[in-house]
Amino acid sequence: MSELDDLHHQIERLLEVGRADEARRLAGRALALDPADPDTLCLLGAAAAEAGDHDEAKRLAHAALASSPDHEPARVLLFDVLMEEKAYAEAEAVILELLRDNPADPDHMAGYARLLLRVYQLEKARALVAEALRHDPDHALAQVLDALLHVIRGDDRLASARLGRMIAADPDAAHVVHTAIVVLGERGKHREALELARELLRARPNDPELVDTVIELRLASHWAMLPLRPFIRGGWPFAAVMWAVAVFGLIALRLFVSDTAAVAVGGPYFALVVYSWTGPPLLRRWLRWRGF
Amino acid sequence: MDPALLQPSIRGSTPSEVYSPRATFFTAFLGGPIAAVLIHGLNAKHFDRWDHERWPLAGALVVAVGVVVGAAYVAVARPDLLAALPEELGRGRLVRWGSRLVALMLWGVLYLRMRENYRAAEMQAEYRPAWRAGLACVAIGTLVSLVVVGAVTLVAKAT
Repeated sequence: MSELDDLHHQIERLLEVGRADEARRLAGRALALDPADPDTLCLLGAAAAEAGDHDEAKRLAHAALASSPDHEPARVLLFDVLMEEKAYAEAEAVILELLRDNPADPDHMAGYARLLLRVYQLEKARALVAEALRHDPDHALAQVLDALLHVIRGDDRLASARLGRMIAADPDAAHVVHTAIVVLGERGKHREALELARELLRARPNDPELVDTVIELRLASHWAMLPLRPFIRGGWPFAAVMWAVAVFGLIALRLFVSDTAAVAVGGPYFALVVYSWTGPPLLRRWLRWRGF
Repeated sequence: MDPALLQPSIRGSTPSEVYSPRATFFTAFLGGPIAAVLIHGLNAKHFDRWDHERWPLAGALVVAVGVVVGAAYVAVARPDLLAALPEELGRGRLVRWGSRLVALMLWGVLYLRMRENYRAAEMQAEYRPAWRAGLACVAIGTLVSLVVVGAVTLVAKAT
């Protein structure tokens, strides 16, 4: 293995564990060996993207493509950066070119499905995921997307079945744990989802999105949220039904019972409404302040 | 692979952020049936579902205006129909609560039609700030309702 190959290998490992700054330093050394090497430019770009420097990542992807126009990792990097920049039409053009060049590549099918999920083209995303899984039934991203698309459709049974297959294959993989958190949360098993999210947070304590997820799951599974559980489960359609039942039910009730009895029924309802407005935000602040 | 899957389908202006279900709910609750349809119409555009939703939205708008006309007509021209109703559902309240009930029903129907998209948006947890759009929908919905009620009142008094 040449020195450059060895450096590439080390940079890839560093990127896998999220150590972007060290990866960038090492990539600088690799670049000194061959400033036009597309693999090095691409890895440096991936490190920049990991560090949130999308402009630099895009510049490096273009530099790699100038050096080698068909360089696949550079095209994938460009696609990822365009996705992050929400330049979805441009990202689609890149991934479609990749798919036309490699029509049987499940990575690109799953990548395109991920993009389509972002722009709510769910049917086409489902078709691409099915196609990716036909080519590679164990494809990680395609399986994650399949589970998420089942959750979106409200088909918890199929989502759980997909999750079960993923757990059987690789129970500790981060993408499996992430999917499990989403599926369990959607099925109302917030406590189980919370335990998984806490485990993941121990491994990645600086991930702000994960912190938010843990807080929301802790909130949903907290005993103080027990009276609001039907609202959490039923969402805004349930709130709409409850409003209609309460208002017109109370009017009907006043026709048949005394005002005192109507107040006895209406009082707890209005207390619940006030609590639904004030309880969750206060508890969320408390959890953020006190820890979770 | 189906060749259609390799055709581009994302328009240049496709955004990924929509108004949250919470924002659409309160717009409908405060603004009435017309506001409910308007805010869902905006989200249908943002979901890039305008082609799928334009006729249901048009139907919902017809229902919304029809309900406002109907409620105004009964309250102004046929108050005898309200005589049997309990005191709590007087003329003003009938219009207000009836219109809010219809608004939430229309909101619910349109929400359920796009619920997969709303669930996908919830997973991405990225919503547009809804203050301006929500207030604009409430203002337009209220204004149109007032104009309709005024027109019905004028017609009823003239005949």
